Amino acid sequence: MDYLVSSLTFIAIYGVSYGMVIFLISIGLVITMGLMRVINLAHGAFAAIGGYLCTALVSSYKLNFYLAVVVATLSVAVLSLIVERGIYRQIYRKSELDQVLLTIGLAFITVASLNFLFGPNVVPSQLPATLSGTVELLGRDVQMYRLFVVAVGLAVVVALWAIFNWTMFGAGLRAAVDNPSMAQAAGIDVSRLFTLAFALGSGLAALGGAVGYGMLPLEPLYPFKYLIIIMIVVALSGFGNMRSAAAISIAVGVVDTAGRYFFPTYGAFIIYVFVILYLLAQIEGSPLRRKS
Amino acid sequence: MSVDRAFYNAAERNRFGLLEILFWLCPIAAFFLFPTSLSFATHVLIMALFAMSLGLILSFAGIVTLGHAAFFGLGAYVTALLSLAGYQEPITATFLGGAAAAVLALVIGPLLLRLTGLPLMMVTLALGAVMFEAANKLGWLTGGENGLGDLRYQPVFGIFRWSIYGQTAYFYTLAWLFVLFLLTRSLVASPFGLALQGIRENPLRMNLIGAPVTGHLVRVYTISAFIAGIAGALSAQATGFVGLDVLSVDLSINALVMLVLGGVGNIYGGLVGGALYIVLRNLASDWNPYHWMFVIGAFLVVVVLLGQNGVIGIVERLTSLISGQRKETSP
Amino acid sequence: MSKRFRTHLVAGALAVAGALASLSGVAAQTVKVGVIGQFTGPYALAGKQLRESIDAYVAQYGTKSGSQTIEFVYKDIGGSNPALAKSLAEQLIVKDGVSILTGFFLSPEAAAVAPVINETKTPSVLSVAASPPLLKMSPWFVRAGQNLWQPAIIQADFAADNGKKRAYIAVADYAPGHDVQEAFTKRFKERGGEIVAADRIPLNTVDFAAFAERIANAKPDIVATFLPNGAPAIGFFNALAARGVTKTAMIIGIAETDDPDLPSYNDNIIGVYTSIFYAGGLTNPENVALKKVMAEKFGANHAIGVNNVSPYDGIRLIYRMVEVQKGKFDPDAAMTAVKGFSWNSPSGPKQIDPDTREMIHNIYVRQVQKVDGKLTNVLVKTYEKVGVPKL
Repeated sequence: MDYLVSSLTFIAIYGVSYGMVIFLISIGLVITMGLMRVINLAHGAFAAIGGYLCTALVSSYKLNFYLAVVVATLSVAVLSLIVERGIYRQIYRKSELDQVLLTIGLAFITVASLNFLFGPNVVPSQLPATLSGTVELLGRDVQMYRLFVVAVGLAVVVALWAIFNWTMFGAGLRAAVDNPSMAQAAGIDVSRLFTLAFALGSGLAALGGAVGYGMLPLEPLYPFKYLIIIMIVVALSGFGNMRSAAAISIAVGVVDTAGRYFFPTYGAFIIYVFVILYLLAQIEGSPLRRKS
Repeated sequence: MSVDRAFYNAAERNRFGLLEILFWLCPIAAFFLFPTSLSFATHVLIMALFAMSLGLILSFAGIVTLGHAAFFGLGAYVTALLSLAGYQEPITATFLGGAAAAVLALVIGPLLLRLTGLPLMMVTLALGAVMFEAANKLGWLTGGENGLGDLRYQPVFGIFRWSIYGQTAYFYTLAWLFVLFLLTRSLVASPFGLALQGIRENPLRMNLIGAPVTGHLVRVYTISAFIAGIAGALSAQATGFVGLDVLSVDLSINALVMLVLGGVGNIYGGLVGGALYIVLRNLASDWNPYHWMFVIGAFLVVVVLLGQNGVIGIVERLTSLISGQRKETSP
Repeated sequence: MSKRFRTHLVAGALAVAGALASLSGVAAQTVKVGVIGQFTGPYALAGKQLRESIDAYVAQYGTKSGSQTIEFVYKDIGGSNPALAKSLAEQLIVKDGVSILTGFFLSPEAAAVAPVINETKTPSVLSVAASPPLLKMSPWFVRAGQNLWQPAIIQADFAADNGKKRAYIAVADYAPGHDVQEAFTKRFKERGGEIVAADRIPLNTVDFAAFAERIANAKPDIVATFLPNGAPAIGFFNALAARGVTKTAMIIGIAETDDPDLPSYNDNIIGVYTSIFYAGGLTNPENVALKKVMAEKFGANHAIGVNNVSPYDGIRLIYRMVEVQKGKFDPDAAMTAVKGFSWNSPSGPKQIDPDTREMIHNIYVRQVQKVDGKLTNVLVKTYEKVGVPKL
């Protein structure tokens, strides 16, 4: 009985916090793919750049970690404005295949550049000492970092909800998603909206890269390494659905943690089987889902 | 370089054009020009075949998959296991490798191909990952990380022995490549091929006019898997070794990159791109490690942004420019 | 393929490439060495180290050995691709005319190449590949690094020597991990210990908390581990520290905290042990000289890793093979020259076992400590002249 309780609290705390990290690095892509229907496989690259930037700010410029997270997030958001205007803008109306290829190309370039600038090794963590302390929760010692990640994740959920429901920006976005030409006709500058939304998505990725370090160590291959898990969340949560993105992220975190805890030997399969079954279940009853 | 614009394809004309004949003389010339690089040249042919198999479903039926290595790997493992079990007749062993891949496609296709776009990519990616993990786990069967080594096959037709000089492997692979190319070429030009292109352009309409959409897709997927399985089987035979990399996600993605490098929408896309990618990759090996990634990344970006359909698209553009100018200048 | 048939077929081809063939015939006083490395891709660090070691050795000893000049020809695998390794080996032997092969970071690469070198009688020096059965695959292989059983046995010995009784094994779920698990289990039981549990950790694991939790629940007094360097090892040790396991049990790995990787860790790695064939702090003259030349060539901050040292020893073996040559390269003489050969390496005294061609050498137990404010692998105990045990 003790074992069961302890196992369940473990899975609850660690699964949810892992899920929150997944949520943080994925949510930006859920938003942009929902709005612009662009398959952006370079999303992980923005997360990596955010993480590297944050770490560099702390280690080289002795900036406070929390401040560095903010600076890195904003810098990547600004950088992505330029990338959106320069590159992504060109592929909104291209085929899925084109989008896949261009963004894989960008991810390749990022990997090469990160390796050139920072070397092939994993960069050392710059998480502050306070986060490696522990607190007691549900009868066990839990690392502060886990709670910090959950707090940041919740803050992002609330902030996004507020933005989408209470601001003109959010209202415009919702309109543009439903019917871009109608929104344009109604006087909304859709292209500007897209740019801003893209910056928001990339900034969130950078935030995830920076605070997610404790679970997702930074290395040059980062943009590809965590791409699969990001894409899993995006594919399972459907386009642009934030609420389901949060739920799916946490489900993935919990399923993965529980799977590895109870069946360590088969831990590698569980998440993939979950994805396959979930997606195949979607086609039940709608035999023809090829969209034209 | 959307598929629509690249719709030109050589196979629509039934006779071989001069360019095509020249193209197929290249591998023969390569045999005489690079007699000491045949094992590498064989590797080039195998990758070209694999990229061509992906091209068949991607260019002509619009199926974008990130898990094609599953078929390549299955073909390789089946052929390898046959050899280890004592079945070493090469031609039928290759065929059985392809057939195993085709059976897998036939089983998963009907469900899988109802998906499109991102969900399809994710499911194929996940299936590929499951196959990889399973091969790693089933060490008693696949050798796991250590792979299956020292595979032996009987001489082809009982005459041509396999050796490290690689003449047999080279011509054996080239023969399979050519036969499967002819199959693909006639398939694409057939009514079935046209129906597939119709599905690619507008599945809903194809469904309305009574075409069995999923059935067609499963059929072409199975054929493509067969070809990919043959490529894997040839890789097992030519190198005498099969490791986990034949099932890796990298291989699936590389095949996609090769295809795009060559040009989507043309049956030669995979062949040209596969060969070019492997050769460039080999030449680049003396560089600083990550330069190659930078170059290939930049190439992908440029190809998409300029709307050029790979190397074939660029060549076509150039030839049409030149011929266009000629017309203008001629009296 | 029969000799005559092969000659016929090649003759036609060679008529075209005749110039090439005559060129390679002239340079009889040069021995070419093919280097098959991971110069790009996920293991590029190992490729870089391999190249550094060759450069350092050449800087120290020149390119001549005996009466012959040594020339290196590099080929890149760029990831886990044994079939490509085999094709490159064929290309090196047939086209570039190399007489010796080296490199081989991942064991499957060497396994794939074995049939080629058996057919062509090409002595091949395994610079890193550590899989136990490799040397049985070809009489032309010789190991410059360790057999994975060696450090695993010492993990068990060190734990038993320190009175540890309850071991938890946590290894990556791939062949090298399985090898470590096998050797450690056998030795630790022989020494009277108990294996409380063994986990094979999937390589695609991102969050290692579940494994840390399992280990903590089992309350072992020693955790033996082997994970690939980089993100997996860092993630695992972080999870162990976060769960407090580092305080309640001895943790002993193999190469995870190697000197080049150490800057990637936090202070929570302090106290972790590793068992391997090199320690940066060794003060023998060979190590001092190697450190000096590495610092001159690659900067004062260059950290020498185990993947520098064993390729460096591999080059020593190659120079030995070439030293005994008179005129045309004789592979049998080359192999005879290294069997039983002993010398002093930066990692201590070395000897090639004449029967198995395995290395008999010291295995060092190192502990990560903070020295002058810097994480350092401190040598704790030396196990001398460790051969490869029969399991």
